[in-house]
Amino acid sequence: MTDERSPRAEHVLMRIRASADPASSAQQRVLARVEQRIALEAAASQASVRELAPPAPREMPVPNRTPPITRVAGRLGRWGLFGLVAGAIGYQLGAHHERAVNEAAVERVSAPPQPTSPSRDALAPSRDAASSVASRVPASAPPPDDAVVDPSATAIAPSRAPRAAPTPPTPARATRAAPARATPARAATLARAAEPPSSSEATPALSMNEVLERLQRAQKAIHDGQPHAALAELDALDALERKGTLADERRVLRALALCDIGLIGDARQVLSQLEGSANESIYRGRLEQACGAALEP
Amino acid sequence: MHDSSLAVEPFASLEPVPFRTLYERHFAFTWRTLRYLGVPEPLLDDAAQEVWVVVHRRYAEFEGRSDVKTWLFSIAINIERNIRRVEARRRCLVPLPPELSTSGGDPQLAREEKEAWALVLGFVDTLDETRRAVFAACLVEGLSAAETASITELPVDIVYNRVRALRRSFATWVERHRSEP
Repeated sequence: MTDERSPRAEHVLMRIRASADPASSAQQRVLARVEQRIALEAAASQASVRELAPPAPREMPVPNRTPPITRVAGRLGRWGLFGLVAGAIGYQLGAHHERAVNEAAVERVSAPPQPTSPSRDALAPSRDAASSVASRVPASAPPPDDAVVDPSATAIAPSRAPRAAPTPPTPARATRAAPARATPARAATLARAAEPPSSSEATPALSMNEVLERLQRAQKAIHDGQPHAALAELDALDALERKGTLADERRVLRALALCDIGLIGDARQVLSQLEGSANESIYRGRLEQACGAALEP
Repeated sequence: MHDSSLAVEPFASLEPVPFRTLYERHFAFTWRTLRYLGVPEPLLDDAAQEVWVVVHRRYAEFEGRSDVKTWLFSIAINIERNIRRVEARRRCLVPLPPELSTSGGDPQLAREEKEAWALVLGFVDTLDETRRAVFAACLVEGLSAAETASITELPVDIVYNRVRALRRSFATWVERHRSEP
């Protein structure tokens, strides 16, 4: 730690060191107050020990200080919530009823023809309608029994297939598994990873929340003094999400991690890819702290 | 830095000292630490009092696994954090320290000290908590990287890198703000 000492900065530090000690009066003053606090705390703890069964604390009436407008809004909110719940229940009941009607229609269609009474003949048009509903049942409604597999249900399989296969690409894991050494080769890899990702590559896109979550993990790793873990997290994010969501934030975090490792040159290289200038970035303060002042040569 | 005789004393190897003795030995250290961390001058008394009340409460539990200075520094960081939170809520600006007694009436020296404190406190205010601790412990108080690592719970190599970066950015800060009229 004997590098790059600025005489002026050292002079400033020397000045404050020379004037930082407390006056003896401060030492006595604080000691008196500390002893007073200690005595009070000791007395309080002795009193609490003596009172083995302390009486239940009296409940003081708490005045309702809520402003009238807030109370009204609260009631309206509760009624609104009640309405939402009631609506949801109604919707569920309606759906259940519709399903029951559909099941009945299916049963009627599949049942052998029975002698009909004249009064039943009068219902024929509605029965036709029911049968047309029955023909739609497998596609639009879930099967009534999960154990019964309706062959026509496979019609929706293709649309579900992409969701059922969330296997992320492996480069992220490979990066995480790689030994976290600050070698030039690794630095070059890191710099390449900081390149703006292209949108044409077909990788599963993460939602904004997922990207934010990963960025927060990287940020926490930097905060906890684990820059290698932060870089691994950022590598994984770049591999999973190449649309470039929050690209500048990723680059700044990468630069912060690189600076913590001591790879200032690589950090500069990453920062050169920012949309704007690093010196004009809102992250300038943080970058200066982590990397030293010279962000842009 | 100041109490060189007390530097890195392995507490476990010492006989348990009475609280009063501990206070007399290390009060100046905690006071300086609080100042370096950026506790405003008017709040220093209260902050130091809080530190030592906490020390008194926990002194019996202190097993001497770490150096007593790093233990005290950690307590000071917690107190400073609470004060900063309250101050941020009050939106109180950190006042500059008043005229310092050590200047001995020399106006030139007094002006230099005032300027130095303004520079340091302004810089400290821009730092996050961990870097503030690294700056105060290592660059100003002169604790070793190992001690600073113990205080901040950072790996030692990261402490070295952060110290280097902080030294650079502090130098730039000083140059930038000294040139201002």
